[in-house]
Amino acid sequence: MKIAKQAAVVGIGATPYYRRGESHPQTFNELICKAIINATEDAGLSVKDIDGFSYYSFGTDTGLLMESLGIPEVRYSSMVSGGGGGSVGAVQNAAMAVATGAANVVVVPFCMQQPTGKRYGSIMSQIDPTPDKAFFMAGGLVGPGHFFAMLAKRHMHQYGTRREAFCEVAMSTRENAITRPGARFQKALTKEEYFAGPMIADPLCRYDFCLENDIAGALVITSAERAKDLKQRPAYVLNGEQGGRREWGRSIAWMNMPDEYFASAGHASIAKHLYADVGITAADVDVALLYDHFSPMVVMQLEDYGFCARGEGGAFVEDGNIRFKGGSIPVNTHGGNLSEAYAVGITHMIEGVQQIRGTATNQVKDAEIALVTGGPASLPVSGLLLSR
Amino acid sequence: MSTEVFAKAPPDELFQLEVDTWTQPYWDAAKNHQLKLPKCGDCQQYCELGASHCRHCLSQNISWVEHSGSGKVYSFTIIRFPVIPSLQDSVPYVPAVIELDGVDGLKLISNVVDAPLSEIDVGSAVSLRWHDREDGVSLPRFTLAK
Repeated sequence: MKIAKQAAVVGIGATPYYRRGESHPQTFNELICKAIINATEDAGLSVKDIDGFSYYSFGTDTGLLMESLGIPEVRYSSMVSGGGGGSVGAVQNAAMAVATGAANVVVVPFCMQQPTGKRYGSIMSQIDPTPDKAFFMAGGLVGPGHFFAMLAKRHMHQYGTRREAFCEVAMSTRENAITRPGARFQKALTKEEYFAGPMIADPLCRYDFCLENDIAGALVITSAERAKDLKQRPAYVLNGEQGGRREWGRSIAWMNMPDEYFASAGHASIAKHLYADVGITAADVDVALLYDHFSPMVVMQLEDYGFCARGEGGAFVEDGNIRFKGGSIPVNTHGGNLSEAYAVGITHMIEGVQQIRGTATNQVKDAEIALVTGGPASLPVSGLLLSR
Repeated sequence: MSTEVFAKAPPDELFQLEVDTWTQPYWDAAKNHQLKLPKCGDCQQYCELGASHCRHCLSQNISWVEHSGSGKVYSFTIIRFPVIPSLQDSVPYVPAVIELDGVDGLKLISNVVDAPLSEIDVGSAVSLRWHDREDGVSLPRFTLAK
């Protein structure tokens, strides 16, 4: 994408981070509106200034939002296809919209609210049967963890990755959540607790799974020109990329990836374009907010994004490289999906902006470039670089 | 006394078969306990299961060739926790990705059943074991090869 620093995230907002199902009786639309109001106030803008919406993972209804918020006119409304893989692609779309003049103030909203009695962790048992899904549904793959466990198992086989690496992801992420206001888990996790945790889907134990929460969050994106006069230090959109390779394809819903892709996060091509377009390398990234629905997928993203070589993610993590304190590349400084909260990527985007502003709870000193990723998932997957 | 735990299988009610033009031949063959794979009648390469075109040459001349079902475990997981109540009597079961002998570019998602958990590993040789459901659908599953 050739629009480096032409757009910026100027506002962030969210509701409280609720335990799953506990945001009721507030409605889905109500939660999103609250997040949008917070984000526009944070930016020093009015909701009436909003003239665009950029969604991901099924989004919501633009007309409904306009009814509740009194937004007079919208000139851009679009959505990245797929699920959590495309999350930060919505920021890329918003940046493109304001850089091209399609709209002036674009909001990326997201809300996750679980109906009582159902949970996201068993989502595959709630979807309608279709011919293409028959092959995995017949195998009893019910929750996302069941699928990603097979990628983790293959990574262990192919590269000798140990559960100790997954444990270090869980422990370091937990440590970051301890000081983070609103984080769901704030008690340190020990190695003993990790290894005593019940095995859910071998090799994934309880602590390798992310949380399930009710959260709405929103980002406000506008042009670099306008950003200069607003309340916050702008987090410029340095680059964004969405899509991915055929070899990754439907990934977990397909499982036909060749060797070099199967035990990966499917983000290698995203990383390549993300860096090359703006002439940087992984060494220039100061903080990485990596979509951590499952701890092994952090290890694989570190490889895809070039922080270490393919297959060396386990050792890289075990050596302490992703720690906020003393790591070579601090990862998920907000506590991530594993310990802060899970809402399909919006929490990572919020942390990315806070790191660039210099206001993060676990602030990486002088952070100039933040990497934020969408989920390792069926295509499209996505990556985003924010910068000062 | 051995206390070896064996792999069970996911419950039938988890899944209802839906077919379309391009998956019908696979499931029809399964009813006759034949594992048939889509191969391009023009360029002779394996196609994606359920695809309407050969991704190599875009031909729609897809033929269905029988395979013995012998292969290897490419990866697997052991589901030990019943995330929904209907799994209660089915755990532990073993979803697996199966690499079939001599087949390049087409792996199957299935289950390894009726085998000691401790003996299932990446690379384990497997053979076909058909599962006939009450609704007339037959599923190819795998067990450790003798």
